[in-house]
Amino acid sequence: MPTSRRKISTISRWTLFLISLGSFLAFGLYTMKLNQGSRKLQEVSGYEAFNDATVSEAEKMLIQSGGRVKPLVSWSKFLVYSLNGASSVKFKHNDKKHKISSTEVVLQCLFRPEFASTLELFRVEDKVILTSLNIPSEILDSKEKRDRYSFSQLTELYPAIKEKANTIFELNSKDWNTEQRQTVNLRNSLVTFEFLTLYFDFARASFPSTSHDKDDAKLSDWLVNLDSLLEAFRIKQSESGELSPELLRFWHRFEELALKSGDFFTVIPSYTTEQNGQWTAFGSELKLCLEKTHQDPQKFIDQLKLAQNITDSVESGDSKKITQAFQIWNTHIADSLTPDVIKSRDSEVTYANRDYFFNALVCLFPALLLVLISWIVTGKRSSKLLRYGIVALTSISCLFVLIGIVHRCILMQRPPIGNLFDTIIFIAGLSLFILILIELITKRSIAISLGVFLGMTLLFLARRYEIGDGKDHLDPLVAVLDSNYWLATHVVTITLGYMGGLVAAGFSATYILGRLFRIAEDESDFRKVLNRTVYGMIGFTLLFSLVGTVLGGIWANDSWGRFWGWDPKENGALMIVLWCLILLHARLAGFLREWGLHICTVLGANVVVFSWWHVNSLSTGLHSYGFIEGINAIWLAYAFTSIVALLGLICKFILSSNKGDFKLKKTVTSL
Amino acid sequence: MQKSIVSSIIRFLSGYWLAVVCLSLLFILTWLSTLEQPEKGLYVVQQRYYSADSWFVSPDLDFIPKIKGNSICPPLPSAYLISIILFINLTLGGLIRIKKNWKRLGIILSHFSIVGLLVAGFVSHHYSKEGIMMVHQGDKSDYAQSYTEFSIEVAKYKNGVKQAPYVIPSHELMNLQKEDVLTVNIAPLDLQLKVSDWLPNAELFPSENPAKIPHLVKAQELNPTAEANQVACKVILSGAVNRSAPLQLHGQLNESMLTLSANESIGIQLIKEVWKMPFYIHLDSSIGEYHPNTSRPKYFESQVTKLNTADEKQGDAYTIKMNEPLRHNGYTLYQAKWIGDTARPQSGFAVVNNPADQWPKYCLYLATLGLTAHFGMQLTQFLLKRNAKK
Repeated sequence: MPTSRRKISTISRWTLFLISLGSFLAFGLYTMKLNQGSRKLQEVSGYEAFNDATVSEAEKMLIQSGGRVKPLVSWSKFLVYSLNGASSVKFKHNDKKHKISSTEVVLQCLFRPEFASTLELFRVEDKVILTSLNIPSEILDSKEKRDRYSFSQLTELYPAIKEKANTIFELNSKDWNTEQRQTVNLRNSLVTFEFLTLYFDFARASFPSTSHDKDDAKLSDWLVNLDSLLEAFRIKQSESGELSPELLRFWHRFEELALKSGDFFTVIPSYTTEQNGQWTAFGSELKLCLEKTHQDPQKFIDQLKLAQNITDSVESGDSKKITQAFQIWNTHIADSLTPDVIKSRDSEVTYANRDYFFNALVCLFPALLLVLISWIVTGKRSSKLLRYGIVALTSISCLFVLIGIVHRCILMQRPPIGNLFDTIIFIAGLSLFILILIELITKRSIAISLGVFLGMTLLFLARRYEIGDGKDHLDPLVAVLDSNYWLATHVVTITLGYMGGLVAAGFSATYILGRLFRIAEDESDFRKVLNRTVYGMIGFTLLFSLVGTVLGGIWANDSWGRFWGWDPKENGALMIVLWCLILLHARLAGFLREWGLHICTVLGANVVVFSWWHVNSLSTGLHSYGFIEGINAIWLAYAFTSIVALLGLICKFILSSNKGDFKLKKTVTSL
Repeated sequence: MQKSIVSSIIRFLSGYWLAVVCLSLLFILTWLSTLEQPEKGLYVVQQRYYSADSWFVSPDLDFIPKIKGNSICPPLPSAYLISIILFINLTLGGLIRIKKNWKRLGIILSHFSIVGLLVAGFVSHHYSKEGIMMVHQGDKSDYAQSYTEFSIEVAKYKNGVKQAPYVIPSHELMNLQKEDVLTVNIAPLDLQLKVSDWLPNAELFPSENPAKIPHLVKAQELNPTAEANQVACKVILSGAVNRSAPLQLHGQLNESMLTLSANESIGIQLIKEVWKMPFYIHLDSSIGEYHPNTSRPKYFESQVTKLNTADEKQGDAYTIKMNEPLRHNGYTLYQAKWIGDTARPQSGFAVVNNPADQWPKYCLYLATLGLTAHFGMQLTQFLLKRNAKK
């Protein structure tokens, strides 16, 4: 191999190493800033932690939400995502840093509302939405453009925010601008917080005792004697013709407590078959009791006492008592449910705590570092060692993703893909798996490096999407989608098609950048490997996209009575098939040669992005499971691939003439 | 000489060049039509880009620059036209002229499957019909009603009993323009109808003088959701009923009654087109459920009995569920709607009569087999060569 060639390659590798390292560091810092909001940690007072045993017991509390019964840990995670834009909350208390989990955040809101209202929980994307609402300048000036606020900081603005949101609700949600969308989100977060903090007021409330004048009776004490109370009311009314204001106030307090504990937090399992599996909230049950229409008031009073036990123990501040109170609650609920529900609950708690996909992302960070180092290491032995290291770390990451997907399938009792989030992690897991396989065959470090980049991008995207969407993706599907046969065939194959398209584009981007920067010492080998791999991946994409698209048509024919409806999602899938067919036929006809094929394959990523994401943001069509916001990220992806394709085109014209090739060589050598 | 011209034409029609152009145009059309959907709606876009009625289409999107109101994008051949050319190209090049050997078997099978899909699409487009059948639990029905197409129904009433109606079918009406006049003679009723002022979507509102003109209509922009469009037209009747003033019809108006004699009258209305099925469906039970505490459907299910005549008491029992339709005698019934919060639950069945119903399935088997064989062979060859080199 000529020395000049090796020299060019070394310089290029160092350049690429420095650019990539700089880009990743800059991106990391930007993301940290994005998550953190204000630079300083918030100082709070009056923080009393729930200990680990209590939090772990509370995580198991079952509630019904999104059409299924789930542990509190899952519910809290998505609730805190939607309020706070992160899975945990950080603050300083007595000069000590604290990071509390989403479950503890919810516990603080439910049981220590006063403290919770001082926590900076509400993420505001742009403080401009608050400026028109006359927020005190001392608060606004201390905040960054994107920052977090506490309920107490926003209390005075709350009515104005609600009023503004009400005027926005009158418009078609499709026409909302960013500011309006953010205002509505903030209003929803504040309402949610209010529900949470008021929910357990019924259990905290004290009433005059039935036997003496002290306010030491609880709601359950009065409900036990509800018949006598109502009788007293009846006698009083028959004697004087009307109820005294004190008695009316007393009764209205009951009704107010029932209203506060609305259906937002459904923790009471269904007692009867008429309830059709619908769990209820304390407020609804209390209302039925007051109306004397409750089918089993004693059962409700027992449950009420358990809730009071929790609030009393929290008030006492005794950690052991608090843990015990949650344990008693969980045991009581478990007694009224089947063992399968409890088994599934425990499995979901494990799933939530293992955080498979985040761990998979974490494994890829050292792998990325090794990839970057491998570009500048020249020794054969060190290169080999680095390759082993990258393969090992990527395999662990892949294993995390695949186990996570299997665990989700067990929990959901359905095949792996049912919504957009599922597609991201599926593509991440399968692309890592396929690229490890290709690496084992080709042994050039190209596939595995691509795997690290692609895996990181997809897992990062999954994390951002999960946080941004703030919805539990384990929730059951609508009837028409709930078909294990079609989910396992059509959806999986079409997603494999997306994956193939992205991997092929990744290889072609590697080809373009590799040749542009002259990374490869042995260029003909580099080209040969990538040409073959890209051709193989286009074939893979065509096979799975075509089969997946036709399977989708057959499913549509069985569900809606038409094979093809030109729905945007169907069109997107068809476009991937057509793109692959164009590439393969143009290549056979000689219209596309090496450069042309790679440039077009990179552009194929745009077709995949259009089909996978963009059509969902068009807000039309029957595939209503995946409407998204965040169109800017899509444009960014288009811009990135188009720039790479453009670079490829420029490079092709420069390198196509020997003269140009020589000139470039000369320029690089002179560096 | 003649032979060379013919072979040149065949070479052109079966060439890669034509295949790439057709595929590229289809790609562009699919992309543009997808982007047009949010603004114009699926139905309109389908008619513009894919219907057999349009051979060329002018994309109408905001990002395409316009000069003096005219788009700079030239009219493109419609998907229907391209599909015909692609069919010829694929048949000649991918099935007839292709070298036939074992290596190419996978490709030939795949081409054959795509030809099959194009034929299935053609048959469906021209010969399938679809509609919705709404039935209450305990009732039976033998007809479906179109989602979008309107027809004019004229029926004679004798002593208040409706006789078999005469229908001006949708295909004669739906392409009418406002200024067009359609004259129809219904000889058995001795009636002549002149249909005019056709509006594809119109709003109905009461007039200031209801005794003279009960309703007024106002033309509206086409709704992107085609099912929401309500057509309107005027009808002048002559013959048995001589009425010089035009009769205003509208999709939301009930039947207009015109008296012929003391015990005879004529009813006329504009309704979503009805088509009869050769059998009856009796809805025995209609059940459904939502996921608890949500409005998300969990399942909808209908127990039905298929009856050959209205009077038949015993028939074949079937269950229709989401994703599990009933296929019988060329007709397919799907569980499309469920209204359960009423005293008598109601099921809505999408009814489709499509001769090419199952063809795509067979094409899929062929395509999977063909592509797997082709790319599988390529991969095996590559791996074998690689091992041999080692």
